[in-house]
Order: sequence, then C-alpha cells, then structure tokens
Amino acid sequence: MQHDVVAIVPELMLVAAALVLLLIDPFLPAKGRRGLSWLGIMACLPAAASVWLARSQQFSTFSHGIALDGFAVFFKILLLAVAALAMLLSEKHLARNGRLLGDYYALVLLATVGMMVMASAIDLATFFVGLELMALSSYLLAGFFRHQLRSIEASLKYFLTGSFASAILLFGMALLYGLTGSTNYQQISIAIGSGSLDGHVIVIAVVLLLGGFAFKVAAAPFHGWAPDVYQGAPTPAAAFLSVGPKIAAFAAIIKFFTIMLGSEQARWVPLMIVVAIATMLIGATMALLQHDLKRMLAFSSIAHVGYLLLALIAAGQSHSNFGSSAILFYLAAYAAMNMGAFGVLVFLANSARFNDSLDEMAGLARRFPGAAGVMAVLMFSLAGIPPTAGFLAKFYLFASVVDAGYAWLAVIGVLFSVVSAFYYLRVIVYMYMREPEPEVAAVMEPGGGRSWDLSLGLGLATAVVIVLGVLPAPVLNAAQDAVAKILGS
Amino acid sequence: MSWGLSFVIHLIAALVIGLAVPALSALVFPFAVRRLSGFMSDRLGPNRVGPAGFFQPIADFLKLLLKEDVAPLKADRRLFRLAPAIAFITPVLAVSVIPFSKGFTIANLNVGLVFIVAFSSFTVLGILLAGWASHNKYSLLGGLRSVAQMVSYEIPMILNIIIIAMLVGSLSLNDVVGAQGKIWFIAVQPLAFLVFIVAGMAELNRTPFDLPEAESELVAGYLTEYSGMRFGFFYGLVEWGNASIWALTGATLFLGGWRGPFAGNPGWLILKVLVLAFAVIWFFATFPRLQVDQLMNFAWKVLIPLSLVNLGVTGLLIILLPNSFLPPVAAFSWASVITIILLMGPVLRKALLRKRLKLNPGTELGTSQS
Amino acid sequence: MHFSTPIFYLVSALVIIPAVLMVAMRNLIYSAIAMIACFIGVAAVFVTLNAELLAASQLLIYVGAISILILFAIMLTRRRSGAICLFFHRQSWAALPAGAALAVVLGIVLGSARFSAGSAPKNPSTANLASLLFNQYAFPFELASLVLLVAIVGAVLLAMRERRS
Repeated sequence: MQHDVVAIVPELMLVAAALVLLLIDPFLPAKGRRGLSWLGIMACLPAAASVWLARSQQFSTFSHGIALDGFAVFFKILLLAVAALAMLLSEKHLARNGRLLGDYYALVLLATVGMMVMASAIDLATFFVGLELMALSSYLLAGFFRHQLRSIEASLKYFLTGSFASAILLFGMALLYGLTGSTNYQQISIAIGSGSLDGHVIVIAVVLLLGGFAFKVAAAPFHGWAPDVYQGAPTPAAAFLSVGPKIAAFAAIIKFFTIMLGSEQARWVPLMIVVAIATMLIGATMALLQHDLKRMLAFSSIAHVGYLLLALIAAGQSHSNFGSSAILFYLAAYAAMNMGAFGVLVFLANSARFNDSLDEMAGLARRFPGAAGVMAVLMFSLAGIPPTAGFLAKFYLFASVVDAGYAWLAVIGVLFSVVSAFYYLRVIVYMYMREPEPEVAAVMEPGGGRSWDLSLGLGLATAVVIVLGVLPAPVLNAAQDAVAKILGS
Repeated sequence: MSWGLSFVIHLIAALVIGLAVPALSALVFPFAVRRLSGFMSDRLGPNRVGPAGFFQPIADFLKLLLKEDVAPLKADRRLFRLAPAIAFITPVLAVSVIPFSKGFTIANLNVGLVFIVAFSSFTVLGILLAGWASHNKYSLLGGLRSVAQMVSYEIPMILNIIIIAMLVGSLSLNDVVGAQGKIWFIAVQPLAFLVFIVAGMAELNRTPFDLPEAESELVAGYLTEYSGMRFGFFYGLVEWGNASIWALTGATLFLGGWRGPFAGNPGWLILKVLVLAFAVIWFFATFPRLQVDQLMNFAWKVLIPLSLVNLGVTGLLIILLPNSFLPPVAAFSWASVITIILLMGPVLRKALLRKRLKLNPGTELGTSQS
Repeated sequence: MHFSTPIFYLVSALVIIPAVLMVAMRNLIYSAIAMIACFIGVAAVFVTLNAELLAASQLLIYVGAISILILFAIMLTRRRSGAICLFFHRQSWAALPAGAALAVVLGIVLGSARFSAGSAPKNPSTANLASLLFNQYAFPFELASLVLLVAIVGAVLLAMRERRS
C-alpha cells in the first residue's frame, strides 16, 4: 500500500496543482493571473524532486499497472522539465492574446500526468488511459486561442486524426490482448516469446500499433496533421506539443517494440525501416520548401522522428541497450533545442507583429541580437553541428545504428541530416546576412515583449543545449542507466 | 425444460404483459385523472358514457382510432411515424424486469435496476425525434425542453436508486423485494423516496413539471402535430405506460413490491401502484406549474446535491456498520426529511419575498393585492 | 451448428449495417439515428456474451446520454433542413479499395486466428466486474476521472462566453 502511493506521488502533486489552478482562476481578476504559471512550475519542481528521491526504487505497483523503475524516472524528470519550460514560455504570449487563464497551465499539467503515466505504464489499460488524458489535453491546448480560426482548425485536425490514431492503436492492443490473454506487458512479452502464437495476427497487431504510434509521433505516412497543428496552435503550446507527446510516445514505443514485441523483431524491423526512411525523406525535403517557420520546425521535427526510429531499429535488432539509450539522450537534446526554437518565435511574436515567416527573420541580428544569438545556437544544434547537444545526440544515435549492423541506414540518415542543415542554416543566414524589407522593419517594436520568465526559459534551453554538447556524460549515463533498469527486460 | 421452449414462453409472457401494462394504464389513468381531478375541483368530469362514465376511455379510444392519421406536409414523415414507436419501447421492455410475485419475473436479471433506468432512454429519444420531425417550432422547443428535463432529473433518480442498491447489496429487483421482508425501504430512506417521487414527476413530465406541454407557451409541446392514434400512442400508451413503470419501480424499491399481509401476490403490487398513481393525480390537481429556470435550478442545485449527500452518508454508514446499518441510515434519513420540511416554509417565504420585491419594489409580503 | 451462431450473425448485422449507414447517410439526424442503432447493436453483443451490466450501461450511457446530447447539439446548431454534407467526398473513391483491401486481409487473418483470451470467465458477475474495476484496474479507473475532468474543462473553454475582464 505504501509502495502504491510512492509510485504516483509526482502525478498526485501535478493533479493537485492543476485542480488548485482550476479552482482559483475564476476568482482572480485579470491582473491577478499574472503569476499563475509559477504555481504550475512550482508544482513540477517538487514532483521532479520526489521522482529523483525514488530513483533507486524498482518495483511495479497497482496490480502491475505501473512501474517505478530507472526508465520511468528518466522520462518523468524529462517530461516535468518540458512542462515547466512550456509554462515559462507561455505567460506573456497568452496575455497578449487575451487568453491568460489558469486553465492553460492546468491542461499542461494534466497532459504531463498523462505522459508520465504513459512512460511508466506496464499495463495496456493504464497506458491507454494515460494516452487519452495526454491526447485530450493536447487537443485543447492546440485550440486554446479559440477566437483565432487557425487555432480552432488546428484543434479540430489534431482531434480527428488523433482519435483515429487512438482507435487504431486500441485495435492493435486488443489483438495483443486477444492473442495473449493478458494486458500486462511482461506477460504479453512472455506469451509472444513462447513462439506458439499465430504469427499472422502478430503482424496485423504490429501494423496497427505502428500506425497508431506513427500518428502520435507524426511519422510518415501519418505526419500530415503536424504542420497544420503546430502552425495553428498558440506558439508556446506548439512548443509543448512538438516535444511532450513525442517523448511519451517514444517511451511507450520502446516498451512496446523492444520488450513486448522484442522477440518478433524480424517481423517489425523491415516495416520500421520503410517508415523511418519515408519519415526522414518527407521531413527533410518538405522543410526545405517552407517559408513559415512554425511549419518548417514541424517538418524538421518529422525528420527528427525519422532519426529516432532508426535508433529504434538498432534497439530492436541488436539486443543491446545502445539504441534505446541513444533514443533517450536524443529526446533530451531534442526537447531542449526544439522548445528553445519555438521559444524564440514566442519572443518575436510578443515583441512585434510577427507572422512566423522567414522573411521577417531578415536582419534580426541587428534588431534583436540576443534572440538572434539564441536562435543561431539552437539552429546549429538542430542541424547537428558541434559543439552542441544536437551533434552529440546525432552522433550517438548513428553510432548505435552502425553498431546494430545497419551502416547503410546510418549513411542515409547522415545524408538527410546534411540536407536538413540547409534549412536550419538558412535561418541563420537570414538573421545575420540579410537586410530586412522596409515594411517588415517598420512593425517591430523593440522592448515591447520582454518578460523575464520567457528569457529565463530561453536561457535555460540554450544552456542545456550547450552543456549537453560539451558535458554529455551525466545525461548519457542516466540514459544508459535508465535503459538498463527497465522492468521486464 | 429445454432452452428453446423456455425462451418462447418468456418471449410470449414478455409481450403479453409488456403490452398489457401500458394498454391498461392508457385505459384507466386518463379516465381516473379526469374523474378525480373533477372531484377535487368540485366538478363532475366525464360521466355520460356508461355507468358513471366508465366506458369513456373506450369511446375515446375508438374516436382516436377512427381519426385520420395526419402528418404535416413538411414533416420528416419517416421519423414522424417512427417516433411514437421508439418511445413505446420503454414501457414494454421495462415491465419485463419487475418481479410480480415470489418467483415470477419475466426476465430475472441480476442487474434489473440498471435495466429499468437504461430502458427509459428510448422514451427520451422518441420525444426528441417527435419534436424534431414535426417541423414545428413549438414541437421542437417542447421536445428539447422535455428531453433536457428528463435527462437532468434522471441523475437524482439514478442516485436514489443506487442508495437502495447499496442498502440491498444487489442490483437485482428480486433481492430488493427480498430485503424488504422486515421493513419497507420507505421507512428506512424516506429522503430517497421523496426525491424519487419528485424526480419521477419530472421524468414523466407530470405536474408540477409538465412544462414540455405548457399549453400557454408551447401549444402542446412535442405532441402539437400529432393526432389520431399516434397522439393516443404518445399520450396514452407512452406517457401513462411510463407512469405505470415508475409506479411499479417505486412500489418495488420503497413499498415492498409484491409483499403484503396474508400472502405476497401481484394484487398487493397493483394496489401499491394505484396508490402511487393516485399521488400523481393528486399532484396534478393541486400544484401549479414551475418556470423553466426554476425547473433546472431545482434539479441541479437542490435534488442532485441532496441525493449526493444522502448517497455519501448512507455509503459511509454501511461501511462503518456493516452489520447494523439500517437503524442509523433510517435515523439520518428521517432527521433530514423533518429538517427539510421544517425549513421549507421559512426559506420559501423568504425567496418569495425577495422575488416580489424585485418585481414590484415597495410591496411587502402580505400586503399585495393578489 | 450451435444455436448461438445465427444469433451472433444477426447481432453483428445489427452493429455493422447501422455503422455503414451512419457514415453513408447525408442527413446528420439520420446519421445520428443510425449511430444509435449501432449502439443498441453493441448492447445486444454484450447480451450475447452474458455481460448484462455492460449491456445496460451501454444503453444508459451511449443511447440515453451521449446520443441524446449529440442529437441535441445537431438540432440546436443546424438549420432544420438537415444540412446535407459529406466530408472528404473526393477521397472516397481511393478510400473504398483501400478499406476493402484492409477488410479482406483482416477477415482472412482474424477469421482463422487462434485467440487465447477466450479463457475469460463465461459468466462475468457484477461482483467480479466490480472487484476487477476497483482492485486490479483501480488506477486507470481513477485516471479516467481526470480524462473526464479535462473534457469538462475543454467544453467550458471552447463553448463558454468570454469572461468580462
């Protein structure tokens, strides 16, 4: 009984904070909502601390519904950091758009609870409820600026495609349950490992699961919603949505494919290779064509998902922990740099009538040298140029792919990575080497958008990107440790 | 008995009794309403056809049957015709889970209580479709109003049914009757019984909750465009059939079902149903109609919180005293009923005064002309 | 042939035909009615599986509450002519063969599959169900309340009039 509560203390903290936010928000005047984000952020800190204190624990609880293991600890802390960062980025932007409501932070917190459950679940039912909690909150965050048509459109698209994805995923999970007679990951793993099950049905289940997860992480051919959603959603929400759900989904993907279906890797690896290559191809080439920075970042995140899937193939193929730990490290680096890049867009939107277009980035270095500098670091990192986190993460990831015997896949990945460098560096070229169009320069209002929590968030993201690039050892060790301490492997 | 034979027997019994109960209700109740409310308001009521007007329902039935079956030109005819039939599913099916005497239940389900509530969905659906298909704004408004009301009042209804289920420890109606061997639940949970009566009146669209048919605002609500036998279907079979189902449920849950002195038999159940039906008619003759806003406020701000408190306290007492929870539950329930009755007068008077001051500043309670 | 086989096919038709009609109908109200029929069919499936509580809950929640609310929303927001709309109509020609191919593959594979989950108890009593729900699956059960909370918050966020600030 004691154990049960220990395992969900951080989630309970977030839920309590979300409920408090929902309760006090209606009683506050518009100005009084200023500090509400800190209530949410301050809930993440003790939650992360309690996760950290329980890091040596390793047990499953709630009738083997959720596991408290090193893997869950790594993901929970990462997700809490993402949530806190998202809330740091948000306040000013919400206030400028007249939607500074406590509900926003409550939704971020509840979505985080759902993600944490996804990462720690070892039971299909628990996992699915966590997934739905995350998904429902995400749809609402995408449509939070309900007076903007694009935001509502983003919400609707996200909702429709996401519901289909959930249904497909559920069908796959139902087949797994039907085959094995259990909803528990370990028992499913044992049943599948025995090799006595109907192989055709396993293939169908794999295809359905892969399709559902591909929707959730925006992998080809189910990536279509991502650009529209990230473009239409409020920019800070897009920062959160482009990172949080992916991290949680990859936590689940690792457990589903390397543990539950680990013995069936011969059936899913070929399929995954096709999906990974298609994802990288679409992400890298389509990003080249975008003039809207949010769409560009959306396609770039699709390309990053492609790299992550390469590491998953490595993890499935090699039976070592190399691939999985590469995914974990990559997710941490990706979270920092992607959220930072969206954060710069939030800053610009707060400071000017900024429409996220590439042309408006021209001459940014002169008008906003700080923002331009941060953006440059983040773009270098997304492109994978040393000494940034992006470089090490990619290096480590491709190394794991080579190690698993897929050198040719690594070569393809590096090639697409080179292509992607073009559109990241183009942003830097615009910022530092282009003169702005006169009408663009006129609408800038320097100093209008300063808010110190946004600056703090950007500073933290940049610092993480640089520190991870120079001193990767602690996080890398934590990632390896987490993968080694995954229950049921 | 073979499976097939028992299935056929059950099916026939279900059909016969399921059709007989609404049909009898449609014959007896409208006539009883007219005669009794006539008596209560010092009138005669229908007394021409047959001795004391007893054949009046048959005359009415024949008249409805012979009338032309009209559907409005712009109505959605298919749905217009289908709606009464959908609404009629409820009383026909719900009868089959009621225990009529020891060992005589058409479908002895172990979750009969849930089924009774679940079947009521069909009436809601039928009324909503009738209102929409008529292509008449009064019909649509009446339908929407009626459904909003039924859905809202279904919640306190279910909460109080859950209270009884907790007292019994089972969802089977046979167990509910079985548990009332020593004492009827009306004596244990008068509060739940009161809420059940009030919510039932609203569920059935009966006075004082008959707003969906408020003739001064909505002509006849969702019934506006219906005539002939389809009107008879809705007004007689569905509405009064549902009233019978409600009375049967109430008698089973709170009044001991078929139990009674000498020997338990269906006669007692029918007697109890008639008592409850008399209460419905009595309300009809006594109470004025509520306003829409009062109606919704009453459900969400009074009945549901009250039922939730009752549910919570009852559950707590059952957990704390698993062996002897009936006396404390009864004590709590009676105490709250008495408190409510004592408080009702002052609270209502205050609310009335506030309202009158708002409408007509300067008047004081007791001095106004009306 | 066991006597339950024709009943199974009958009940399946009760689910599948309304489901197809729901997607194919052009009038939203008719679609909603077809959906209700489909829900009733699902309740019938539960009855054939001896899961009476689930059947009753299906009727109560899906027919009695969700469908009614959907009908309500359609009636309050649409003009009554029942706006005729069919989404994605240009893609339906591509979707048909794809869906048919998927149906054939699923039919062939799942039709001959051996499932081991059939070992579940034949007569799931309400008490068994309750003990599963409140013991083994207590955590997801409680978590579902958060999902509902988010849904309520979302409804308020999307539909409520702007607050006066």
